[in-house]
Amino acid sequence: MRFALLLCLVAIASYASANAPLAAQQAAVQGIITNADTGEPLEGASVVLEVAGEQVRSTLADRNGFYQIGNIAPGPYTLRARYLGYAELVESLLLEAGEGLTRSIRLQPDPLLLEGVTVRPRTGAVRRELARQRITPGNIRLVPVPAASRDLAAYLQTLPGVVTTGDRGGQMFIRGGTHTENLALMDGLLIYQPFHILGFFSAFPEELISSVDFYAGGYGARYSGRTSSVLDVRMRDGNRNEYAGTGSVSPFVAEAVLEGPMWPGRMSFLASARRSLLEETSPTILGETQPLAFESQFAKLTLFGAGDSRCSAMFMHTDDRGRLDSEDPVSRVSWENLAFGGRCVDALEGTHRLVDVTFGFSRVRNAAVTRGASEFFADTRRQQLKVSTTDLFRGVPYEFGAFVHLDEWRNDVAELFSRQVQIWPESRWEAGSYVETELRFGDRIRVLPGAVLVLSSKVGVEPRVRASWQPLGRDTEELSASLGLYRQGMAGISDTRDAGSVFVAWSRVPEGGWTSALHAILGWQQSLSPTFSWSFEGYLKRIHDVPVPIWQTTAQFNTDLALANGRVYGADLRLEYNGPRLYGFVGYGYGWTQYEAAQDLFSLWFGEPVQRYHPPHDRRHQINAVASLDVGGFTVGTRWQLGSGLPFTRPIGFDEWFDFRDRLDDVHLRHGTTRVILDKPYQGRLPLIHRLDLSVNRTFQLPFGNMEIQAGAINLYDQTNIFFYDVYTHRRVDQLPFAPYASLRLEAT
Amino acid sequence: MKSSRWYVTPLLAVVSVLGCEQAFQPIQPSDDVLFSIYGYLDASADTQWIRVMPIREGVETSTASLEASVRLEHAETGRAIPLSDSLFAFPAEYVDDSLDRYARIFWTTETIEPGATYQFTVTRSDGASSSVTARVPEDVEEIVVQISQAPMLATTPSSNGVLRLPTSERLAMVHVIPSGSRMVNVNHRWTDSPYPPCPAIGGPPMVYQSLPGMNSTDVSERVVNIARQMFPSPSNEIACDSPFRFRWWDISVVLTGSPWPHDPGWSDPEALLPDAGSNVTNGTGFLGGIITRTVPFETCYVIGLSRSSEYCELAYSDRSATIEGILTCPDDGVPVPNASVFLWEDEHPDVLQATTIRDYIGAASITLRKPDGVKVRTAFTDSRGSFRIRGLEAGVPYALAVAVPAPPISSGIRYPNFRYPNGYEPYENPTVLEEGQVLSLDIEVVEGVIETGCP
Repeated sequence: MRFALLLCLVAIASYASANAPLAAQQAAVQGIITNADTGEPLEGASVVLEVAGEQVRSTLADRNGFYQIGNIAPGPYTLRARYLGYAELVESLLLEAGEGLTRSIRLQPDPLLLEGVTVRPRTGAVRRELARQRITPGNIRLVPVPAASRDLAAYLQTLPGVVTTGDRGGQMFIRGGTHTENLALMDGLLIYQPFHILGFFSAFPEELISSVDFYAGGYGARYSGRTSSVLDVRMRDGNRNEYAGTGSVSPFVAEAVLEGPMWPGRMSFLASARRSLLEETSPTILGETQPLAFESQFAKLTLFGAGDSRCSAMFMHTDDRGRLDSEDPVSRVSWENLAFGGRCVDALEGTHRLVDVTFGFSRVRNAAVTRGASEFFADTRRQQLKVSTTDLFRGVPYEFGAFVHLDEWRNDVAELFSRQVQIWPESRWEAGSYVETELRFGDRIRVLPGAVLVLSSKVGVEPRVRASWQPLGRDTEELSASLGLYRQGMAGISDTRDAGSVFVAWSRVPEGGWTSALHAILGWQQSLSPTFSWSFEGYLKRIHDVPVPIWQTTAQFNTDLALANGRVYGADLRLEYNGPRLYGFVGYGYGWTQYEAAQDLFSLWFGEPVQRYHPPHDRRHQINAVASLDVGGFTVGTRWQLGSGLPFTRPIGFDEWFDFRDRLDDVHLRHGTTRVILDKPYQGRLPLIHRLDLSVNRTFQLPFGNMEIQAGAINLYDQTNIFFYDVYTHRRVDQLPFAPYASLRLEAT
Repeated sequence: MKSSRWYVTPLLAVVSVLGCEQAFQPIQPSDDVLFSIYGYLDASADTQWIRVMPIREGVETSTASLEASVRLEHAETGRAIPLSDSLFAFPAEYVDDSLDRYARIFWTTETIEPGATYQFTVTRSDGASSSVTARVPEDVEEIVVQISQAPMLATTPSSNGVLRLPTSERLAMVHVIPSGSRMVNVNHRWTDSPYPPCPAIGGPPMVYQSLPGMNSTDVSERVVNIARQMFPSPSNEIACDSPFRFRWWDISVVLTGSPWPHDPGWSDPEALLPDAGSNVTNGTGFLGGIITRTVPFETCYVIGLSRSSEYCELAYSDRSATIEGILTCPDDGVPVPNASVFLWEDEHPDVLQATTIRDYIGAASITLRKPDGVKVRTAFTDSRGSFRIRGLEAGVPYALAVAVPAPPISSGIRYPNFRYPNGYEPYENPTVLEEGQVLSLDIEVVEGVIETGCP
């Protein structure tokens, strides 16, 4: 009933908006700009309206390739659409009063325009637009990974403020948030655990990505349900005109991608399969077996309609399994993502609106056995529907949307100690709507206020605002700021008492509440020359009601939760050189995260009910350096990383415990329960880590396409970096040692 | 030239810092936590066990010597009590782990004196020590059990009452347990039963159920509610032919010389904290001083009382008397199990009232015509035909009768009980017991109008 009511509200809002009159008999023009060959939307393509050769208005296409110019005086105009590497399109328009003209544009790629020019993406690591960092496959290619196909995961790890606990486990912590507070979307569908157990890889290889919007915080009203960051990945469409395929293999992973038209010009497919090989090859290249394996499959069908509207059907499946501690023969972990759904984007003819509808199903299954003592299983699924529209209201652009999703979860946790099996299938629905508009004050100031209304067991409003100021009136210098409130009703329960535990069970935030975070971000970015730019960004967060595990002294997964509040602050400094043959990026991140938790145990344990501690992902200092050099037909890529030690809880020692609460334990007949006597939470720090990865690759042209050969090594100087310290078994587990590799990639076009 | 090499020094510093392997010592030893000491000095036990282990740096235990001196002494007299040192091994499969485990146990068979205080100290070779003081409670002369007169529920056989203790000592815990079993190793899991699955109850029969006692650390609290529930139910017992049929239940009372520091309301994480319940100085663990007393949890019924607030009182001490015996078939002496034995005060010869005493095991019943206030005791024979009734007052005449249930027939219908002797006459003339007397009666049932099941 509530769902139906919500849909009605969405429909009414859409209808009202569709029929809103243009301001004072003004005209408007909008449409979608795409690659004429592939149908890919061209985000960032510029559209200029001219009268008698004079520019009167301009705009850039958004992530859907949608452009929109309103409040135009009626009359004849010349429209110019440009995008780097594409032939310019010039068209004459006659705009009539009150008209909202839809004019979609297909730009033809023109390789001649790129001859002799090394095109590096304008969307570098320094540049952020209103808290958004746009990542393209060109960016991703800069970071070496032990595979022919680069990966989004490796690129993200080079960004300041992005913390991983090691090269295994698939967890990413962003600016003090936990890995379960990140929102990962694949064409709008939620992917619960997008990163593979081998930390170089994710569900998003370079081959499949169109572009990525990454927000380390301060994101707009379009996104809700997570409190830390957003990773919005748009998968590319298959080629609608020609068949193509790639295949690659390295000691770490093998991959195949196939694409082509199903209905030439109208419908395409893209299919991919990837499988890790490290489990089989590690005895040779590492000298020991690394029991880590993953595989993934992806498929996308896209139907291109009139006016470059499109509908897509997506499917993704990932399966990760292994043992993070290769010397522990019993403990193992696995997780499996499944997501499928559809998305339609259409610039409605006769209106001045783009409608974007996404629906689908997402699921993650987690399983773990730890220390031979406990078996955990968690199954979480979401059904979701989201409708959004980009429109003009009296010439002012805005985005309005509504969403509803149903979360269901079932967690089975068998505890050795308690001799209980806990099964609690539960569900939770959440609906809401959002609106965000863009206000321009002259050519220099943009302000994007917005808000999210969330309906669940209670009602919440999340106001947000983003703003930028270009003091010199050009985009080479920009001051930007973001402020917003974010809430999250589903909590990922992860036993963070030692970093090696990657099992996640999802449940509602205790006490029917929300985890909330207030983000405040202020940044400056500047291009000092066409090749050199830098940026600085500071951030501050206040976090409330983060579920954290109850502390205890035995090695058991703990589903009892307490709520913590947190304070986070930090800063990023980024330097980027983007020359014709050399690319270099250095990022330094400083972060400070502190939780304050009140637990009953703390009073008994430490004499104080409240403890303040730095959680295990609080990496204080982090440096990443990435370089890519084109020389003699070869491309040399390097990445060096350094991270200060992560917090861990120091053990005082081990003993056995006997129970005298309601019985007299026989101390000579029973061995007792082994427990660790712990110091206060997270008072220790692991050693710092640093590592150098290197790759050299060259591409050869063959009659059927291209062949790329790559050789490289991870951890080139074989640094012994700690992965985690298991406080319950007093064992240190290290990250991967020096590992050479070679890869081959064949591309048939 | 010089300025062009400005970077060399910091570069070398960085390289040297990064090039060195960093020492990583996660353990943070503490001088305040040296040894783990667990056990209890039980004045009612014949052997005392104290487990002593060093606080160690890893999960593994070893067979190595403790490298410390251990001393148990009487605090008032200073007399040292010799302890034997034994290394106990717990094979990996026993502790459900991948490692064999070991524990150092110190033990003695010397008598522990009620009311005395003992000092236990473990001293390391460098002089650092962990110590604990354990005070043993005074013994108690009498324990009074009051059986509730609330009618039992047919579907959940149970008996309730209260336990009254002398006010001189502290109560650590109370358990209701099957006679002859130990209070420890309580396990509530059905699946842990070593007996084969029983279709009637959908799983293996539970061996026994031990209800956690009501823990009282308040010296002024002297009244403890007790209850027993019998599982499996009689029908399940019969259907599954369980080798264990608990007819007799005990109330196990643990008295402590010092306030019991372990709160039964603690969750597991709370209880596992190093300081939770610990009385060890410079260490972890617990060494208590206790006395364990066990009294039977028997049936008692006072004619005329029926409200839940009314009780039939039984006192157990060295002065209370006992009647026990074996019920057998005539001629061949085969034991008669599942029979009900009734014992009542026979100070009132007049028949004034008819009251049916009925218990659930075997559904045996007897009808007495006695005035209000007469105390009736019942017991049930076990597989050997044995019965026992304790807590009897000396100087009071008691009469006895038995009721033997007929064996079940294929239709599942039971006949009315066979009674011995016929009618409502007692087995023999009323018996008067002396203080502390244990009267043995071997009874042969007499065949009556209904088949007894005897061959």
